[in-house]
Amino acid sequence: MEVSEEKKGLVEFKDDKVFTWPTLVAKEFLAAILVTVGLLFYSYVVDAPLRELSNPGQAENPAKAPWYFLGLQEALVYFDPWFAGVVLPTLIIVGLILIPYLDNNPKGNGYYTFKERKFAVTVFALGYIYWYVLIYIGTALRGPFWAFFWPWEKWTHDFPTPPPLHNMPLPLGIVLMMGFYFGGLVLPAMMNRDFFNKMGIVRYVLIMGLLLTMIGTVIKMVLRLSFSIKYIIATPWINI
Amino acid sequence: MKLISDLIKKITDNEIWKSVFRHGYADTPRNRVLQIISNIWLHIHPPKVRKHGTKIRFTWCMGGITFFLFLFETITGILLMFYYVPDVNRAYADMVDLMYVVPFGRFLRNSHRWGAHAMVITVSVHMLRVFLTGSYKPPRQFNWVIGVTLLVLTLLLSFTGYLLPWDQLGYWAITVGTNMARATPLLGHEGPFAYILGMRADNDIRFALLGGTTIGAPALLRAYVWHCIAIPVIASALMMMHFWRIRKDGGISGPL
Amino acid sequence: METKDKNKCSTSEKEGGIWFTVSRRNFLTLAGWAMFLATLGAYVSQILGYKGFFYPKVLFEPSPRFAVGNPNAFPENSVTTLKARKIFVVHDGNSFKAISVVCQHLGCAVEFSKEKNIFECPCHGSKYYRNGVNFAGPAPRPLNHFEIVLDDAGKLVVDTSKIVPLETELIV
Repeated sequence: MEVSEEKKGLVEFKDDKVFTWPTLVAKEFLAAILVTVGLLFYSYVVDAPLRELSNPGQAENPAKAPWYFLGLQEALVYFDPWFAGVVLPTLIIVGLILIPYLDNNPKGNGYYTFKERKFAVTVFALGYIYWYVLIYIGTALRGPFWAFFWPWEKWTHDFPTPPPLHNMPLPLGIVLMMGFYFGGLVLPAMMNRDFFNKMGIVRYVLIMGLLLTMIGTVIKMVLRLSFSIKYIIATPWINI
Repeated sequence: MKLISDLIKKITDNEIWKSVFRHGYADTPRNRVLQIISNIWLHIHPPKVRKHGTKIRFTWCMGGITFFLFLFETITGILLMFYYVPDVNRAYADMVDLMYVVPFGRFLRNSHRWGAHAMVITVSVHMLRVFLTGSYKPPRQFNWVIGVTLLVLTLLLSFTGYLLPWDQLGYWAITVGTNMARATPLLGHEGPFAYILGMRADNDIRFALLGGTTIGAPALLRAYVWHCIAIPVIASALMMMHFWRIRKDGGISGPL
Repeated sequence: METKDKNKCSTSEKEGGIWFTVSRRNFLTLAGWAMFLATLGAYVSQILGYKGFFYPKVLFEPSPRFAVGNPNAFPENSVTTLKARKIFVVHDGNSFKAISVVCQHLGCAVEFSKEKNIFECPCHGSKYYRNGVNFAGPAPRPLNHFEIVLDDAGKLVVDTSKIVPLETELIV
C-alpha cells in the first residue's frame, strides 16, 4: 500500500506522505462505524435521563447539572456567582485562547514530548486534572443539600449543620491577596532568571497571573473547608 | 458469480451511472487521488497526507469523531424536532410521548442525548491531544483559538439542549445558568458595580437571555432557537474555518 | 504634483508608518471601512444591544400581588411552603412573615428542614436561619422578605414586588 519508498541510506527523507484514499479514509470510516455502533448499543440499553415535570417551587435534592458542568457547580459553592459563574469561566476561556501566544517555546511542535516542554505540559495537565477532580467531587461526593459525603458514607438528610461562616478581616485579606500575587510573580522570576528572560515581562505576567489564579481557587477552597472562611476580601462592593 | 458481475457491469457501464460517478475503484495512484479530489465530501482531505497523521496513536481520532458526532446530533436532532414543540405546557408531554409512544422515538432521543455527552468527552480529549502534541504552535495558533471557541459552543449546545425537556433538570439549570448572567459585573443587576449602568431585573443581560424577568415561555423558545438553529449555524461556520485552516496551515501537525 | 505626492508618501511611511499618510487612497480606504463598521455596528447594536431586539417590551408574567388565605389557615409556630407562589409563610405566635423560596445565591428553591429549624438549598448548599438570615454556604445575603398585609376580607395578601426589611412582621 505504501507508495512512498523508504530507502535506507538516504540522508534526507522528505516525502513521507501516503495516499489519503484508502489509508486515512478507511480508518475514518471504521471509526465512524464503531462510534455509531457503540452509541446505538448504549442508547438501546440505557435510557436518557428524563426527570419529573419542572416544579418552580421545589428543586430536586440535590439538584445537579449534567456531569460536565459539575466542576463549575462545585466552584460556585466557594465563590460568589459573579466570580465563579462569570469571571472564572471567562478567565479559563481567555487563558485557553492565549495558550499559543503565551507558549513561545519552539520545541515540541507536532509530536509528543514531555522533556522539551515540562512547564507547559505540567501546567496544562494540572488544570485539566483539577477540572475533572472538581467534576468528580460534584458528581460523587455531594449529597442532599449539597453536603459533602465520602464515597463510603451513605447519603442522609441528617448530616450535622455546618458552623456559621465568617469573613477574614479586610486588612489581613488585602495583605494576603497582594502578598500571594506579588510573591507568586516576583519569587519565580528571581529564582529562575532564565525562565523569566525567555518569556519577557508581558508573557510572564500573564502566564503567572493565570496560574496563580488557578492555585488561588484551590487555596480559597481549602480555607473555606478548614477554617470556614467565607470571603478573603469582603467589601460592600465586591467580595472574593 | 458471473451473473452478479454482469449485473454490476450493466448498472455501471452506461451514461447515467458514469454521469454521476466519474471513476471506478481501480487501484491506481491516479484513481486514489481522484477518489479524494473529485468527491465533494472527501476533498476536505488532501489527496496525500503525512504518514504519521493517519496513525490512531498520534491523533486518537478525536477531532474526526467529534465532527462525526456533530453530524449525528444534527440528524437525530432534526428528527426529534418533528415531535417536539417548545411550549412550556407541551414540552414535557412531548418528551414523554417520544419516550413511550412515538415509534423509534425513545431510541432517537437516547442516542441524541448520549451522543451529546460523548461529544463533550471527545472534544475535551481532542483539546488534550492537540495540546500534548504542541499542535497549536506556529503556524497553527489561530486554529487553536477557533478550536477553543468550538469547545465553548459545544458546551452551550449541551446547556441549551438539556433544558428543552422542561423537566426538573432543565428548569433548574436555566434558573441557575441565567442567574449567573444576573451576577455579571456591570451588566447583570446583581453583579458588582451594576448600579453604575443602572441595571434592574427588567433591563439587564439576564432579561435579554430569558425574554422576561421570570423563567417562562419566552425563555424556553429562546433556548430552542439557540439550540436548534443559531448555535449550530455558528458552530458550522467555525468548523469550516477550523478544517480549512488545517489544510492551509500545512496539513496535520508533525515534527518539522 | 504627482511626484511630489509620491515623495511625501514614501517619506512619511519611512517616518511614522501608514496611519500618518493621508493620501487620497488611504483616506478612501479608511472612510470605506469606517462606514462599513458603522453600519454593521448600528445593525448589531439594534439586535443584540441594550433595549434592542432581545428586550421584549410587553411581558406576560404572573401578578406579584396575590392572596394566600385566612390567617387561621396557617398553624401556629409553623413554616408553610406555598410552592406555586414561591414563598414560605412563617407563623410564630401572632406574627406573620412572607419569606421568598428563592435562594439568594443562584435562585434555586430552598427547603425548610424542620428538625434543624433552618432553610437549606439543594443546589449549592446555602443555609439560612428561620428568620431568613444566611449563615453558611455561598449565599451572599438573607432571603427576601415580602410585604404581607391583611385585606378587607380578612385574607393575607402578599406582594412580591415589595421587599421589606427582615424585622418586618404582620401582627394579627
